[in-house]
Amino acid sequence: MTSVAESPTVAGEACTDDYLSGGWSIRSWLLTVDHKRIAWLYAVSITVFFFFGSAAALLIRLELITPAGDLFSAEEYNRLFSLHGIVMVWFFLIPSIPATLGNFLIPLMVGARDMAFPKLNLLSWYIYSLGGLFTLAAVIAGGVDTGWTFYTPYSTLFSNSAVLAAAVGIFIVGFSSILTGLNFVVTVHTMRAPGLTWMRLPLFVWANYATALIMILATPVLATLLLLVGLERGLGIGIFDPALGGDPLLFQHLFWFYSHPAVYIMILPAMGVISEIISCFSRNPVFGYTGMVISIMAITLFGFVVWGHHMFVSGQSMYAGILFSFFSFLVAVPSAIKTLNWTATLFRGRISFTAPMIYALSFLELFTVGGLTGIFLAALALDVHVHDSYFVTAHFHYIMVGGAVTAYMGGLHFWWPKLTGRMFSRAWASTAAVALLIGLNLTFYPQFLLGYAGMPRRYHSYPDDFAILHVLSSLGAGVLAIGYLLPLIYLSWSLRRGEPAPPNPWDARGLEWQTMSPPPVHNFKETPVVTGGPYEYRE
Amino acid sequence: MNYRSAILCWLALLALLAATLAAAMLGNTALRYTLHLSCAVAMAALVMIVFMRLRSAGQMLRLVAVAGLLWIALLIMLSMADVLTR
Amino acid sequence: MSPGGPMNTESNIPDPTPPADHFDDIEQQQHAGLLGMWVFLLTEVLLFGGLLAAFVICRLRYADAFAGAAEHLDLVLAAVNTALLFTSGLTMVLAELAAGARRRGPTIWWLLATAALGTAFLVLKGVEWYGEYKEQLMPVLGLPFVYPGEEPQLAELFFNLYFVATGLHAAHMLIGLGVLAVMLVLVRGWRRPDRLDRQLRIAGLYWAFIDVVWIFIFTCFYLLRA
Repeated sequence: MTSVAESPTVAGEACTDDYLSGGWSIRSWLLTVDHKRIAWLYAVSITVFFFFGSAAALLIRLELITPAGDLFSAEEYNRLFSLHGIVMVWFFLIPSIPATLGNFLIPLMVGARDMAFPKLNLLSWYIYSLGGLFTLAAVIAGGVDTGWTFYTPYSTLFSNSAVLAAAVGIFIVGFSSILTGLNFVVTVHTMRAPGLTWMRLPLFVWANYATALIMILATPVLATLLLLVGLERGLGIGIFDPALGGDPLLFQHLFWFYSHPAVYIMILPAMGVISEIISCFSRNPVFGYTGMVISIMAITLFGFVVWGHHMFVSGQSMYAGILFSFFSFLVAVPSAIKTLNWTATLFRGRISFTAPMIYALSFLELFTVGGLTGIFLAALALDVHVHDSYFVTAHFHYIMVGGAVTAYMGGLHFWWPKLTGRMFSRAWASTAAVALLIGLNLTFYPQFLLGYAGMPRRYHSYPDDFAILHVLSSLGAGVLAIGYLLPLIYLSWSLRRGEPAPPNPWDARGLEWQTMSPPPVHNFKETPVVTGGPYEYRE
Repeated sequence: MNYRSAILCWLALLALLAATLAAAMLGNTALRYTLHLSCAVAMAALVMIVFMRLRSAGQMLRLVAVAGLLWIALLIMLSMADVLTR
Repeated sequence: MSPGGPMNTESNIPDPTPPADHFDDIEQQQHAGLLGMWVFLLTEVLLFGGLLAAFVICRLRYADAFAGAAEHLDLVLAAVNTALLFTSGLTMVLAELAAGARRRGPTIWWLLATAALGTAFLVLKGVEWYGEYKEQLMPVLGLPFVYPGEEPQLAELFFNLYFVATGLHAAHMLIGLGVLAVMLVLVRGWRRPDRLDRQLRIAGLYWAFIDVVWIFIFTCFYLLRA
């Protein structure tokens, strides 16, 4: 940014008042209202949940190496994939980028001293932890076998598992999501530094703002829904029970009114991260900034009107199906615009293949495959064939793991010097990024073929013909595990041994790079005055 | 916002309540349901505009107030698109 | 603070409260507070919105049964309750205006009136629920449901939705009363009247919002009868 009035007074100065120098006592972390420390609280919590979810995924892949269901019974397998889905969706993917990177960076990027409501921010983490641990205990000790979707009437009438407890936990976590979204929206609206107009905001802020809108507008409906499921299971209030005149499809409508937009809660922040990284490491301004902003808001809006594409074969009316199919094709347009704009940003750039950039380019490949197969699924007739098959599993893992998690890893590496004030090992980071790309494709590409050939989801055994593809997929999961474990090791190592990071190691233009690494407690010595856009990489 | 507009708003709310109760006598006619719904919308609008001070609030707060109603409409209309054509 | 208004302010106004650390000035802080409350209310709208959607869909599908079941609700009590809520909305605004004019006594009295009206609403609601329990129209917790009209199963669905909606609304009333209690304690202390004025405006938004929800519950459940 050609922007900051006060040139960084930081270069030589020792970081005496950075946000980490306030001490390492338990109290200084658990009672902090500093958005940067709260971001770390989230980062640690979601990492713990991520490893629970991954462990379950590995066990699933272990079971699927052989055609016979020998390692786990069908019942145990159901509980395993439910654990994997519930933990990964609600306790890792939804909070991942917004609650960690977003929490840390949004005030820095808008030139504010903190979020608008710092105490609410901390409360949000406590609610998240409470609900998360509650659900985790329920899912592990009690076991839940409904999948992460809790479809009625199975979840309310038939399942003999801890559905009620898990639902209560997710209900609680929903409030954390709502409060985080509320904080983001109010912060972006009211706390921007002088001169920072809406069209000068980094795309990362735009993406998180849009995410926050979805959290606010969709999560309450999930709360209502879980309340009704809880009441139906606990008190026998039958809203979804056909025997009492209720409508099981009503459950699916309300569920996907939240859960489809929730997909965009996961992918929009990832798109924001990618815009920052690609622009920085190709030394080019983001191509078509205005188009990117419009696309983000269009995805937010259209994301709310496509939910019925999850219900094509559930007995929904054919006419509604056509409507939802049409909207689903429509939502692909802004996503495609974004992908093409990233590619155009690379054009004639001076590209450097640092670790964050490898993650970002991986994202482009994975998101394109995931997005294009999404168009297959939006087509009514084809969906009837591949619905509930591994094709669907592969599609959404390409988006969720290939897209969201890869972007999270990329963002973590990109901002690691700012987060910690330390540099990581570039060689190891590049190795891990490449391992992740290979692992993801090897794990999930065979699943497209499996699904197209007719292998259904959620079975612990399968005919011998599918064995080769399943073995390949399990092999990929092993590579994937390396891609996740490596960063855990070298990033932790860098915390103590990494060389100190300068304020702006990548020579990036964003406002967050104009302050020290790590930033001082109140982010900026003086409120910055912004005079230009966030991507002025060319003179 | 002052005492006068607050009290006028309260009187208007009570009048609308009386009107919608009176409309209940109309039997099963389309007019009756229209009256019920318009009275409800009018009452809600009065509370929001006067009691919640949207009249003197900035554009942003008005937008937030309208967004909630739009999103409920979205939820209901698209669900209805399924239920009514099933 | 309310714009204009030729209201008389008591003399010797203390220094204005400084903004919190991370805000530049008090306008920014107040704007953030109001916007935060409105956005929170937006989430509340959608919380009830899910229920409303469920009701509307069922009401259209089972029009006759639902219209019949609504006959068994007490319209008179509900209408009185609506009037009570509107009046409490007025008294809350009067409390805000009194605080805006920096008059402690009237602020306390109007707040007390608001709390009393809110409590009266809940008491009447309880009476109503008790009546439905007596008539065995309360199909929760395994209580027997004996319905004299046609299509008792659909009527049961109606009453299910009715109890969830009014129960959730009553829970919000309780929270609102809690907020009023806190504000009463703060106003009694009367430290930093300018801050109290801002806090009261935010509390008032929540209280008025409960009115708005009730208007739609009243219209949908009570008025759409045969």
